[in-house]
Amino acid sequence: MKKSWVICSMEISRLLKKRQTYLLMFVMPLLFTLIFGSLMSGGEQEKMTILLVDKDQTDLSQTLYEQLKEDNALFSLKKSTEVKAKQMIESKKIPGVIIIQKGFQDGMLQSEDSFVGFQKIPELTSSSTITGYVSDKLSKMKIEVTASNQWSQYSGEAWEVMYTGMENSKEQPLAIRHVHIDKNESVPQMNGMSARAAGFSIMFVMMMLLSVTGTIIEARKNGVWYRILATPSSKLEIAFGYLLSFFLIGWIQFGVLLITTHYLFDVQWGNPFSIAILVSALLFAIVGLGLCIAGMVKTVEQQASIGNLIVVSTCMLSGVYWPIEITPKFMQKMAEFLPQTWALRGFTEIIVSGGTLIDIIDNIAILIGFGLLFLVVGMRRIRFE
Amino acid sequence: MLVVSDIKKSFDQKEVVRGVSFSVEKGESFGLLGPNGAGKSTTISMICGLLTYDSGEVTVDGISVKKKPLDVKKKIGVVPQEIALYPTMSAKENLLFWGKMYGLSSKLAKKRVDEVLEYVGLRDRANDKIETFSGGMKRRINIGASLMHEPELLIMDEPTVGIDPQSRNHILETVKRLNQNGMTVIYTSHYMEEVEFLCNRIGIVDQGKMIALGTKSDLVNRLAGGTVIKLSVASLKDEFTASLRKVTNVERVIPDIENNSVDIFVHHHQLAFSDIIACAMDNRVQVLSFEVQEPNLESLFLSLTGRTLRD
Repeated sequence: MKKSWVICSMEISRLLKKRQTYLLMFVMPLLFTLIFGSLMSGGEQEKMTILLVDKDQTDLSQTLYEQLKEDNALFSLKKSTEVKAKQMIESKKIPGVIIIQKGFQDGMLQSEDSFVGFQKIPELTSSSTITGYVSDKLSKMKIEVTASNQWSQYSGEAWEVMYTGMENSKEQPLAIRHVHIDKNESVPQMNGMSARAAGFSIMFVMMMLLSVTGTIIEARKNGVWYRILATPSSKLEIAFGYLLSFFLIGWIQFGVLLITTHYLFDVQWGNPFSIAILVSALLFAIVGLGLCIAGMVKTVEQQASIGNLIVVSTCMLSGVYWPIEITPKFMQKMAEFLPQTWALRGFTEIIVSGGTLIDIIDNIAILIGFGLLFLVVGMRRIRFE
Repeated sequence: MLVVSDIKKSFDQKEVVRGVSFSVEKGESFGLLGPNGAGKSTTISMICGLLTYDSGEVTVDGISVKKKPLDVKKKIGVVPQEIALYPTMSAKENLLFWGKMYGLSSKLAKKRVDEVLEYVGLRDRANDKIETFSGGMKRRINIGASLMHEPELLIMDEPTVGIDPQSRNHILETVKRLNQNGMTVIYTSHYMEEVEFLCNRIGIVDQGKMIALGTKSDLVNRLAGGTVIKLSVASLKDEFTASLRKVTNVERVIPDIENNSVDIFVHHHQLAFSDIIACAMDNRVQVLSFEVQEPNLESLFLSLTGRTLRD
């Protein structure tokens, strides 16, 4: 295997001698992570604050406040007094106030929901979205209160018993989920920056590896391949040397990106061992794909253009640029057949849930499966004569 | 040293090497001459173990190339037609790489780099990138890379293609020196003068077959009607070429209608010449110019195939 190492070290040193390599390997992914990561995680900080004045001060008005506050992607909600809210809106320090009028709870029990109002400044453009959001919550509440009230009339018990029961049932988990939390360690969050760091690292490593696997085509073209085959080295040594170089180049790039994104952007990558195995499986799949393309095309230019086309389109489908959940169902189905999807799921499991190797074993197995498939096709097409 | 016995090779059911046989003794310099597409490179690739032959056998020092290719490859140095080097790496880095690929230790490879650079006359350019070299310099490093492991048999596949005369001479002198120092050399080319300069024995290949084999004098003596009179005329007529064939001392006539010229193979050209001119006058053919060529490999090839080596 000494010859394999000679080929591998030559290919790595050849690559690292080119200045533009560093741009594609490190500068571009960090820049993309910074720009897209900031955009995606910046939303929370930029949410507007809306005040809520509770004149009713009943259980239902308190429940409405909690429901409006929960999972609210539109605005942050704060309670306020009527006087303070009036001053704030007059001075345009806040864009709007939700007012729960006295009699709100009684009105709800009689299926009336006209006790909630919304005051806003003229400049607020998203008032219809906010009122729609509030109306939606009110409608749900009205249904639940009406149902509880009906039940109360038949059962003779207070309506609050059923209503509280319904509210509590929502909080019960549908499935058991194990979360590993180490003592004195914060649980990592898959925020915008982490998601983009993982996504763009995958994308640029793919671009780099699909480009470097083209060295076999280049070697064939300039006679180096012929000369290597003329040396007393077995086909296995030659193939392994090239594969090892591609794999190590991928690891150098991914390793540097893991470390720099952690220190520069505070990305918490989670369990290092699990990450190392997942990245290795992903690199195996990408190297296989690169060899597969190299075996099918004739020139380095074809390899680069087809490779980039595949990388960009599959990254779009698999949720590298944006959350996969926002794409149509058929695209989500298509994404199941892409290695990036499985890699990103693995990263999410490790980063968000503190997943260990056992938790991502499916992802690793599927990535290795992709790699083997691509590698078998690629190696069959690369001629050793 | 090398025995090639009736090897054949087909690609897509087209036979490109059709039973080539020859042998090369230790310390010999053997030339493989033939036009482009004759099958020289395919033959060389089979000897080097890069292509498997369909039938026949090749042995180097008694070892079968088919059965033990890696053992054979250790003994051979190959200089490919292309500049098979890494252009963005220095001459030294390239030579080190190829040395290690032939199994040299780092220490030995470094020592050999200095020796080889000295041999090819590029020691002062050791740390320069190959891409900054002239065509001739690249060719010299290309040869140097195959000398790193001090092979017993050096196989050179058209090593002087596309370079200036000065570099060409340097390469030819280098190969001559290597052979004089005991290295066995197989040199393929379609340049007759290179093969004549370097090689003790010559094999002529055409259309996948060995059509002539021997020392230069053997081959030239074999050429019946060894001298060629090249006649350029105003208009070449069939009657004229037919008449030429009947002239005494004329062995063979090869007309080139496109260029209005004719190659006439003759014995005793002094005697034949006046008869040829008389024949031209009888046929009312205006002779524009003529050239007398002494017997050589080019005329042998022309005699055997009706084509020139550069066709």
